[in-house]
Amino acid sequence: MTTEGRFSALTSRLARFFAGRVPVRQLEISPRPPQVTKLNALRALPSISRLCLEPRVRKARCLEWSRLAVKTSAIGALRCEAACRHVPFAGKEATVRQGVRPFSVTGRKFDEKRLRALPQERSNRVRYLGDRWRPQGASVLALFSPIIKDSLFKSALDKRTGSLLCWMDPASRATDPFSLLLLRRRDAKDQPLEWLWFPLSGE
Amino acid sequence: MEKVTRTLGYILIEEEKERFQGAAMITDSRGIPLDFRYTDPVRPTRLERVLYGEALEIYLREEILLKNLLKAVEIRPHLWLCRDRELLQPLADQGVHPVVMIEQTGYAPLENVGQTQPQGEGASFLLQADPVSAPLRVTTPEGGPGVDDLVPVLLEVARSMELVEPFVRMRRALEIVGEDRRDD
Repeated sequence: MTTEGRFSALTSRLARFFAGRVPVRQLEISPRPPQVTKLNALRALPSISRLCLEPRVRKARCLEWSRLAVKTSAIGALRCEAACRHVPFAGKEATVRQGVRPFSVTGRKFDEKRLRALPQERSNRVRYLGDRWRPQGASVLALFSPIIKDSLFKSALDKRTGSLLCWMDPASRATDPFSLLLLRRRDAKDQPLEWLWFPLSGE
Repeated sequence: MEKVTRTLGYILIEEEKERFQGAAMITDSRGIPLDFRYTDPVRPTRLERVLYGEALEIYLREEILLKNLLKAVEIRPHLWLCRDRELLQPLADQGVHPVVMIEQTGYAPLENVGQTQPQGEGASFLLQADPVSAPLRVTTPEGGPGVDDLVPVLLEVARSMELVEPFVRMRRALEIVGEDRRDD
């Protein structure tokens, strides 16, 4: 090492000792560019597993089947060869299936008797009554309207929804609408609930 | 004894669990059914859903279900009612007149029976159809009937039946049809 070199090394050591500096140098990149090898996958031979009595093709390309012999690399009795046959796809027949059929529906008729057996529903409208009618000594629990009273042959209160189910007589020609109110009488202890019919005005 | 004159036609098309089904019911002014038609449910396959894309629902509603229902109904009502906006214009386009869309609202009742109040959206208005209920929202299609023509008919019928109630019964009837099919 020359004197200059020694002096440089000493300077560097002292600098590291006192100032904690570490010299950073540039790493020179090799001028030779990396070589990229092109791998021709099409030419790759199928890989055959060793010591296998039945040749098993692990990888193969359909295009090469007609040209390649597939064989094991074992020796003697374990050696086995299999010929690959080329099966042209053009010879196959494809069945054409219908993916979409035109939608078709017909309007079916519902049994009239069953339809008429379905009750009409009247919801409780008591909240729309407001202050228009306040009976003395009673409170209105429910108001169902409009109901053609003389067409009604059966009714039931649906306790789950609070609606009144009304079965109407289709043979009846009555048309006069009524409101049906359910009242709770405060003074009646035995039967506090009372149903009342009110004809609807013609307004 | 009075003669029952007005007839109403209700149209309902429902989609449930990817199945489309339609029904039409004609009632008299007391809500008593005179005719009820329904379609079998149509369940498009996954392939059909892909091929038809977004047009599938419109095609099924308008071209398949609606057309066939209208063809099947034997009685021509005085007024057709639907409750789906998607059906209103197609019904009018298929020559169903007069037709309105009718909905229940949660608004406070208007002062007087018969009072109307225009709504912001095009040809919609609120109608106080009877003294003890919330007003109904009525919407007409383009070129549909005017308010002055509609209101007297709706008021007359609302005196003897709940105008939107038949939709509930139609739904129930379709459920019964479905139950019958499962039992077979």
